[in-house]
Amino acid sequence: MNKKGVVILLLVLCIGNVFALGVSPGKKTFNFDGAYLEETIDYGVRVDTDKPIVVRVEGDLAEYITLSRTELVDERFFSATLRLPANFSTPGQNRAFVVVSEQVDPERADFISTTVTIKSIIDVYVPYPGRYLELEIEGVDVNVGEPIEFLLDVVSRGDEGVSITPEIQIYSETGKVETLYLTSRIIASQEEMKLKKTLDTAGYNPGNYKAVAAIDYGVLAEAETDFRIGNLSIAILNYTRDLEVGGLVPFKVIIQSGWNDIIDGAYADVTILNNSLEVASFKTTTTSLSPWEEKEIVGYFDATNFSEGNYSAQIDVYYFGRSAGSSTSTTVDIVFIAQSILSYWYYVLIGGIILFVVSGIARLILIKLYKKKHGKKKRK
Amino acid sequence: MDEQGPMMPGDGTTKVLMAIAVIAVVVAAGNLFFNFLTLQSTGYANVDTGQADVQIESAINIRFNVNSLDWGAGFVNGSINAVLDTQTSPYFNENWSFNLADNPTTNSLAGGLEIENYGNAVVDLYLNSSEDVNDFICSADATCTAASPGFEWQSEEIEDSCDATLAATTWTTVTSDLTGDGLLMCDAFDNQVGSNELEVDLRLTVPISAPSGARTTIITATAIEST
Repeated sequence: MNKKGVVILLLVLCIGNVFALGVSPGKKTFNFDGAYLEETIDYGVRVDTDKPIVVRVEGDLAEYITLSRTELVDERFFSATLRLPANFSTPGQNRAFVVVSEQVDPERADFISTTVTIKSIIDVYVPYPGRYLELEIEGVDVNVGEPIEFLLDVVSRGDEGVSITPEIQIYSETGKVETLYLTSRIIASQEEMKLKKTLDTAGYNPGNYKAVAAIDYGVLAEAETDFRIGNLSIAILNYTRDLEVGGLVPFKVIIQSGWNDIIDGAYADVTILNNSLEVASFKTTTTSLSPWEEKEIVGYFDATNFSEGNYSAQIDVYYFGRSAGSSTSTTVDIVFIAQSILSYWYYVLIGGIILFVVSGIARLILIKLYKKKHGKKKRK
Repeated sequence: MDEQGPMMPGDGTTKVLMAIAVIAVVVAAGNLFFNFLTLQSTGYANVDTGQADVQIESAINIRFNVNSLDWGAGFVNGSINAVLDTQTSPYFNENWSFNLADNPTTNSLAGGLEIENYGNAVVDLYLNSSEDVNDFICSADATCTAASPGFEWQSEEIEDSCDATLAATTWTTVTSDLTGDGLLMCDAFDNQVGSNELEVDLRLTVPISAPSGARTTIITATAIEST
C-alpha cells in the first residue's frame, strides 16, 4: 500500500447507462364548461432501451386521471383518461403531468447513472365568473419600409362572451407614434381568437419601438412586445482608449449592426492623428455581422515612435449589405501611455528564455565537438 | 447482281411480327391522344382539389449524447483533497492516483454530460441528483463532510441553445431535490438542429477522509414543454 495512505478506492468511476426518451404529445389543453368532461389522450413513447418504462400522474388533476398502463415493457403506447365531474369548480388553469421515466434498476452500481424523465402537460381551463380576457402580442424586427405583421392571441377565460375592439399602440423611444385599430367582434366564453394587423413602416425612422396591444372591456387587458426597425448601418459602440507606446499595438473597435439582415465585409480604416497630422493608419480585420449582432474587430500598428500624450483617431467603418455599400465615421480621443512595468518584465522573461535556450544549444554543440576531438585522440 | 440478299430462315415470321408491332404502336399513340383530349375537355386535372387535415402533436425527445465518462478506479494519494473534473485535461489533479491496470481513456471526459433536445418543441430542462454531495462523496461520514467535499456542475450552452435563462454557468453544488425536479437548468431549451445541445461539466472534490467503496448517484434530466 502507498505510504501516503490509500484513503478512498472508488471502484467504478464512470458515468454510464445512457438513455434517450421521447413522449408525444407533450401538452394537451381542454376547456371545462361545467358539464362532465371525459377525454382520452393516446401517448406514444420513443425509447432506446429494453428496460421498463414507468408512467404515473402528478399535479392538481392527478385524482381525475387514470392510465391504461403504469409500466411499459415491450409496448410503446398507453393512454390517459381524464374524467372531470360536473361539480369541478376551481376556476383558471388546472394542470396535471403525465410523467414518463425509465425504471431505475436498484441493483445498478454505476458511479453516476443518467436518466431522462418527460412530463407531458394536461391543462384544463375552468372559466372564471363573468368576463375575463387573456391577451398576447408578437412582432418581429424589420428594416425600414418593410411591413410588420403583429399577431394577437385573445383568449376568453370567463363564462361570458366579450365584445372586443383591439388596438395596437406603437411607441418610439420618444413617445407614441400611432394607433392601429382592429375590427370590433364578439369572442365567446372559452374561445381563442388569433388576429393579425400589419404596420406599414414607411416613414418610420430606424430605431427601437414598442407595440402595446390593448382591449378595454371594462377591464383593460394589455400586452406588449418590443421590435426594431433597422437600416443598413453600423454603430461604433466602443474602441481602445489607452494605448502603450512602443512595439506593435492592437486597436480594438466594437461595432454593432443596425440592420435586420446580414452585413458583409465590415472593416475599419483607422487614422491616428496628432494635432490633426496623420501619424499612422491601418486597417482592422474584416468580418460579417448577423442581424443586430455586436462584434469586435481589431487592427495593429507600430507605436515605436509615439510619445506619451493625447491623440485622436479617425475611425471609418465600411460595410456592405444586399450589394449596397455604406460607412460610419467618427473621431475619438485616445491616449498613449508609457509601457507598463508588467510589459517590461514580459520582454525580460521572453529574452531570458531565448538566451537560456540559445546557450543550452551552444553548450550541447561544444560538448559534442569536444567529445569528437578527444575521442579521436584516444583511438590514436 | 442480285439486290436482295439470300432468303434467311424465318424471314416471313419477322415481317408478321414487325407488322403487329407497328399496329400496336399506332393503337397506343391513338389511345394516348384520346386520353389527352378527354382530360383537356373535362378539365379534371386542373380543378381537382382535396383537403387533408393533419394535426402535428408536440413530441418531447431528450437524450444524453455522451455514453461514457470514465475516470477509472483510483484513490486520494496525499493529505489534500483530490479534484476530478470533466473540464481540464488530464481531468484530475496531482492528489488523485488511478490504478494503472485500469488506466482510463480520459479523452472521453472532455465536455462532461451532453444533453440534446431532438424533439419538435422548446422545453424547460431540469437536472437533479439522487444524492447530495455529503451522501455521494462522504456516505454521510461526519469527518469527511467537514473536510469540504465537492460535487458540482457547470452548464454551457452550445450555439445559444438556451433561449432564456441558463443556470449554473459557474461551478454550482449539484442539486438533490427529493420532492421536485431539481434545478431548472434552462427554461427554454431549443430544439433547432445545431443549437439544441447543452453541456454539463462535473467536478468532484474528494477529501482524504472519504470512506472507501463505490458510490452511486443518478442524475435525472426532466423535460417539460415550455409554456
